[in-house]
Amino acid sequence: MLDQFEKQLEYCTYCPRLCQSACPVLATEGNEAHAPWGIMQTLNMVRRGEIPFDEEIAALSYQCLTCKACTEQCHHGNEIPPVLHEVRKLAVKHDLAPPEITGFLEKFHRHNNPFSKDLLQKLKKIVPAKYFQKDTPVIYFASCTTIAQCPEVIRDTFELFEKLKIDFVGIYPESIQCCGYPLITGGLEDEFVELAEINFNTFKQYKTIITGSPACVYTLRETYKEYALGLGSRVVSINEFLEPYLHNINYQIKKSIRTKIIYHDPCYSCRYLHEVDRPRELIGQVTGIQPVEFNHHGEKTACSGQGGCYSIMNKDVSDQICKVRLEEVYEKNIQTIITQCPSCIHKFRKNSNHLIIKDLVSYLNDCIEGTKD
Amino acid sequence: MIIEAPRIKKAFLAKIETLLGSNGYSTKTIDRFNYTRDSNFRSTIKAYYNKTEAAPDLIVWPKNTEQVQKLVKLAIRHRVPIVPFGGGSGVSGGTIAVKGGMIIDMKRMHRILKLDTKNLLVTAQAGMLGKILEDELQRQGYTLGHFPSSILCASLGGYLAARSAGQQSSRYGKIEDMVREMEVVTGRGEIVNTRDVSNTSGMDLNQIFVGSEGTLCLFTTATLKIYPLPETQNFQSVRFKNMRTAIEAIRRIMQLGIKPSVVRLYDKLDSLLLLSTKSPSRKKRDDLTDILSKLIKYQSLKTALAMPQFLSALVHAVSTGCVVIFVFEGHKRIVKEEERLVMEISKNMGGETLGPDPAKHWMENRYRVSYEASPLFYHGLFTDTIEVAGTWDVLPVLYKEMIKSLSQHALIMAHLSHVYMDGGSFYFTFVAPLTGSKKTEILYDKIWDKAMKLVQKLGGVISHHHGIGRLKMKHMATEWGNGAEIYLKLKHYYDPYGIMNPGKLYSADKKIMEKAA
Ligand SMILES: Cc1cc2nc3c(=O)[nH]c(=O)nc-3n(C[C@H](O)[C@H](O)[C@H](O)COP(=O)(O)OP(=O)(O)OC[C@H]3O[C@@H](n4cnc5c(N)ncnc54)[C@H](O)[C@@H]3O)c2cc1C
Ligand code: SF4
Ligand code: SF4
Repeated sequence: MLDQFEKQLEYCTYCPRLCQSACPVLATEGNEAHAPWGIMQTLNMVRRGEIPFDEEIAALSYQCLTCKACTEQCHHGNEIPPVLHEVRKLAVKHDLAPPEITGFLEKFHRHNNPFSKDLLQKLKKIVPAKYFQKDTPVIYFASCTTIAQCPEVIRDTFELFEKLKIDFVGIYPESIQCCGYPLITGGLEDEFVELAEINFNTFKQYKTIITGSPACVYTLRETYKEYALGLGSRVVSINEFLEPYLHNINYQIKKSIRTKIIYHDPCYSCRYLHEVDRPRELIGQVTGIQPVEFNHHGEKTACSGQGGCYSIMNKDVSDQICKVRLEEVYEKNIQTIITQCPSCIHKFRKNSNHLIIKDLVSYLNDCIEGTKD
Repeated sequence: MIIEAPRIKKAFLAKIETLLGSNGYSTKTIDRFNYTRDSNFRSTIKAYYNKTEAAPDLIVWPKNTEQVQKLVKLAIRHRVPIVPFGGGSGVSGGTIAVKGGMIIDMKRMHRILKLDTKNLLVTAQAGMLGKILEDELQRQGYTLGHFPSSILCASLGGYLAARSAGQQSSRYGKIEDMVREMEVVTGRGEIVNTRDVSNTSGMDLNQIFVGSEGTLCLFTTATLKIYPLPETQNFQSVRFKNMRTAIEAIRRIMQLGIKPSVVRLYDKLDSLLLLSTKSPSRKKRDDLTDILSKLIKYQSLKTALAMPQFLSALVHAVSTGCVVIFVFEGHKRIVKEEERLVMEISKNMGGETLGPDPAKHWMENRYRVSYEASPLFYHGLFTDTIEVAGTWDVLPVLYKEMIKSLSQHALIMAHLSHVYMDGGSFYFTFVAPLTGSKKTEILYDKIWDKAMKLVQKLGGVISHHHGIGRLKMKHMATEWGNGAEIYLKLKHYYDPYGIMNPGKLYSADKKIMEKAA
């Protein structure tokens, strides 16, 4: 078991814990067992057959945000999340997964999303009907978390499309509005594959699938490929899609955009998709403003606390991690955070009272008045 | 792999729960397993062979000094051994709970409490990790000047406990030179603040606690000197024909009163490794393994290491000399003059200038060497480092004799990396094959034992900055001589119940303590 990760597990076992200072979970909890080194050396003992694979080990594999801050600091480039994803899958297969995870699955099953809600119905209330009727090869996949937790982003996206005279994008009209990321990060592989197959068969009818959630981009682009459901270059991040329009179209800028903003890099944007410069360039392109940077930004970003399915099992620690990130915003006396991940947006909003937390697209939409022609 | 069930009384545990809440402590097997070792390589060898060190009975994570104090008082009442834990980067087995008991992990106390830019002082909690502290200071335009190779994983409390030295200690001093004030919780359960005392004349009380490795107290906060970030940094590298000349050149430099921030003299093998890794990409294989794996291609390294003397001779034959790298920092004009003087002395001593590149390259990769252990163990080799110190008259002999003696057992290389007016610290790295659990542990112990005795015989000291822990404890009686009595008196006073990190630093068993009393 886990032999495919033998080298990573062995390296961590012999390492003097050189990525400890990068891990937000360790920084908050202080528990060596939940640090990258601890998780990996424990799993190595499971691999070697020294420790039984039981519920405790299964639970251990969920003590990680999958943020890859450790990988960023590891000279060997060791990746912890793929190992943990594998353990989670095994945990589910062997009926060892924590009750929170099985409970999550029950919730998911009701409407094929983690929120137990008919998100298509909700989506229909967010965007005008005309976008549903479009017979178009280009669609916008809103993502379950965005629909459920920050629906204004979808409205703003289509408003921005209109301002930029982009009239050929429809909205993904199916009843399943989730790419399956919450399932696969929770180790629910069979359910993920079932869902992904259904999605794949509808997605492949489109030429371009635009999405604003970095975890969805990664899942559709990379994880689907691992299950021979590759959508290849069909999957485009909203930033990639908007970039040429924002470059070439002559639009007017609102006058009141001089607000100081700080940009938070979601882990999936910068460490999985390696999109560090593009969001900053788009902000610069539209507003001429350079966002204030967090002390840890770009590939050295710090997780909002909402990474992976960590918060399902560890709500308090996850909130504490978020508060540490927010403390810096207060210290820097900034009122507005711009970011790009619906989970980060939701997390920040829940843990702050007066801050304005916006998706990048909403921000750009706010700044742009309309085209000049 | 066996972790015994925890032995704790219910009443004690109930008090802990009331004090810290359910997420403030753990008795879980997996958590306890992860606190069975620090980063000492004897334990890593054990891990290689699926063996574990002693496990603590519980781990606690206090959030403030008051909680630490209450924990100590509880431990006194219930006679539970206490083992302070910082980053776990210690390499002397200092955090192993040899008598079980309670590990007090300080990492939830991880904040800067005060940055006093007028007087250039920082006050921080002891559980703060070195990198996080230094990054924060640098963001504000300051530096602690303390850059141990373990900065990524060591804590402030660990620095103080083990008398840590950074790579730039020649300029900034060791942690004991940086500390101004401390708050500690002693084994009596009292909070002691060294402030009032060190600010007046008389003894510097900081120095009673610094280096005590958790055997007298827990450090909770410390105030340290800081410096403005240097205006400039210059780099130079020089090659000398042999170690003796290089050591002499460095002595002359240091005794002129020049304070380069980095002076590192590499012996022939270490120089080979230093120079062979110019401009590596991040994904490139690790230096040491790179070279050694090259050797593997031609002849099995394990076979070669069966004849370590031969391998050393081979390396010394192909190598062209010993490299010294210098970094100068501070005010531009001073730096320029320091560099000029150093290069003049080096030249007069027959040094050949290699330019700034090797030094710059070292600086860019200053923590890379710390990652070497993983690939070595993975390839069936074990390693460790022995850092010892001596005065200038001792150092050349110490180097020669250590290499001669230890190369019978392992591939050995050295660098001189912390130098002062009166001497410096040699850092010996050894590598040998893993040849079975028992055999390897015997070899490991033999190398250490031989090294420690030799250093003491030659008039050196057995540790400059890694501390004593469990590893070197048995050599401390010789090291301290009758000075040990001072320690034992302190131990008797500050740890009257013998609960503070037992089995570390100095044998303080009952009989010895009774005698001291
Ligand atoms: C790769 C590597 C490179 C290293 N390079 C250097 C170097 O360049 N310079 C150097 O000085 N050291 C170096 N070390 C050794 C080690 O990092 C130091 O000894 C460091 O000071 C230990 O700090 P820690 O927080 O990890 O302590 P730990 O390992 O957690 O503990 C070390 C000792 O300190 C005690 N202790 C810890 N915290 C407290 C506290 N708050 N109060 C009281 N006692 C406490 C423990 O009980 C133990 O006895 C290196 C180690 C490694 C693995
Ligand atoms: S991920 Fe890298 S740095 Fe972290 S413990 Fe593993 S080997 Fe060490
Ligand atoms: S991925 Fe993030 S949370 Fe997980 S071990 Fe690494 S640093 Fe910690």
